[in-house]
Amino acid sequence: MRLLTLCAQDFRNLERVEVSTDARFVMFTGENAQGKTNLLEAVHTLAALKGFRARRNRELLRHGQDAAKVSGLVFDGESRRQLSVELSPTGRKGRVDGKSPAQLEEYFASLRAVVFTPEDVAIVREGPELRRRFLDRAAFTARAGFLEIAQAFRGAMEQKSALLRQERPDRLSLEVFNERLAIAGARLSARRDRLVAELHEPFLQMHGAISGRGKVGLRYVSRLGDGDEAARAERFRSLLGENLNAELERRAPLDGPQRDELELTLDGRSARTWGSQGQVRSLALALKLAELSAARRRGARPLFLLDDLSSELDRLRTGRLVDLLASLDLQVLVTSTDPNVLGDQPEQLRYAVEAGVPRLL
Amino acid sequence: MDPIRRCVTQLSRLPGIGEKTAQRLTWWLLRAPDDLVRELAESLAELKAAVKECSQCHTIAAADPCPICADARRDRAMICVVERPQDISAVERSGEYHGLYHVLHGAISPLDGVGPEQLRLRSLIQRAGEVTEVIVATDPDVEGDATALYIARALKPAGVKVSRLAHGVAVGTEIEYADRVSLMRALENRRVL
Ligand SMILES: Nc1ncnc2c1ncn2[C@@H]1O[C@H](COP(=O)(O)OP(=O)(O)OP(=O)(O)O)[C@@H](O)[C@H]1O
Ligand SMILES: [Mg+2]
Ligand SMILES: [Zn+2]
Repeated sequence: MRLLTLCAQDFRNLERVEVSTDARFVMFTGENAQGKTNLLEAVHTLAALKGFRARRNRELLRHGQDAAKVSGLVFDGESRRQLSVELSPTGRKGRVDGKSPAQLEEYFASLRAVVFTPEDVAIVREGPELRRRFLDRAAFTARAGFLEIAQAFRGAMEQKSALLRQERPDRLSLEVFNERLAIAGARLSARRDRLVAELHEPFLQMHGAISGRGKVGLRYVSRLGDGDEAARAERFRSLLGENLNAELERRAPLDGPQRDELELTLDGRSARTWGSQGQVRSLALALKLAELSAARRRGARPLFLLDDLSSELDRLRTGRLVDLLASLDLQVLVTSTDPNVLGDQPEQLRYAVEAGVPRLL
Repeated sequence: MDPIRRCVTQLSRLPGIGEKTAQRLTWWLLRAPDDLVRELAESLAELKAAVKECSQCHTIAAADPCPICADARRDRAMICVVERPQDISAVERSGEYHGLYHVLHGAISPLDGVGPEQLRLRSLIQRAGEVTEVIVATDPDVEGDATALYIARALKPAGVKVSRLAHGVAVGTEIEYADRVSLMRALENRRVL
């Protein structure tokens, strides 16, 4: 997949931008606060219909504007498609070749992107919630259908929580939501586990390539065990049965895959607790690279959006990373304050970004 | 209030109609033949006055019992349960179903304060004693699935077969908007709950 052009209008500090991105490496360089990351976020919005930093649409609209638009031409090796997203303070509308797709999945299939930003070290460093979110995003990037699975689980959890908050929850309703939850939770847990199995080998490989040191481990530890989907559902049913009275008393759901953990270890110890800053960075980056590599094995070619390259790693490791990216045969969009960070990579388009305006170097 | 303004305001209250469309419709109506506009106004006025809830299936119709409940040719051994009256027309369009209906007027959703008591469930349990199969055609989403399961469990003592439309209907699609072919397939491949 290659993004050939990118247009952004009133997107963050980008008033009106139109650039060619038709190269293996596209590089946005410039001083701080000029709009380099905003350009990457525009690409991400085109792929995922949402930014990677913003929690609300409004943040993506240029100050004082109530609409923004991002569009781009995508080439998938066979045909070209024009994707566009219109953003308003509350809504978003994606179009493929000018038409709203009947199903959102159709839109997401047209362009996929994996992003790595300096903040992603939190995936390794912080609580399990962020690791589950990483998995769910990666599962979604792999197969848009995952969205349905995650939503079914979240929906059942929300309904059940609302039910438990009621004065006298209807018992049969609770039984029914628990059963739906058991099925949705088992599916979620099994899919996450399958994804981790796909990521495992590439993860070791990528970590070896960028860091070269230490024995790392990656494992999904589910409250529902490691059996097949049916076994997990059975396990969840018995957990829910055991906790029924406690949940009624506490008026909240207690146990389940909402407590699952993606365990990351360094030489057998928890990376979260024991990893040094550099080690944590390498692990976080290796996770994202593993996601890309696993995608490649499936025959998909997502874009890689790499934010703030130089600040991430030292020179040596940056050099290794760039070689690695070149070998992955994917389109990479990079931001960096250092215009030479990609070295003498051929096939790079470089833009200097100043006050929201990229200029070809 | 200015009559044009009034019409625009009223029309823009309808779902899916914004200010712009309301204006366009208003100007179209102004130029349309008098008969047409009168017919439209009368039909709107009659709508609320003349329709009622069917005491058997709870659909909204001009007569009680509704035409389907009153139709002697319908198969009285089967009930198809739907969330909304509009869903009946979707299932009818499939041409595959000849039984009776039951409209719940919603689905179980604690988030919206809708529990079994807020739905037409009690009368369904009564009606189920007289049939051999209940097909649940609630929407394929969290609330619709939970409601289907609730019905299956609530009808267990009645010993009636309860089935659910198969997944031919895309998840997230309201039954009302499902196309004819996928509904036909979903009816054929319904599974016992
Ligand atoms: N909605 C918005 N409207 C207008 N300007 C915005 C909006 N959101 C962010 N900005 C501005 O965009 C600039 C930041 O852009 P960006 O994050 O892309 O910087 P950067 O070039 O990546 O800098 P750094 O090198 O520090 O990461 C800031 O000056 C910020 O105020
Ligand atoms: Mg930045
Ligand atoms: Zn009726």
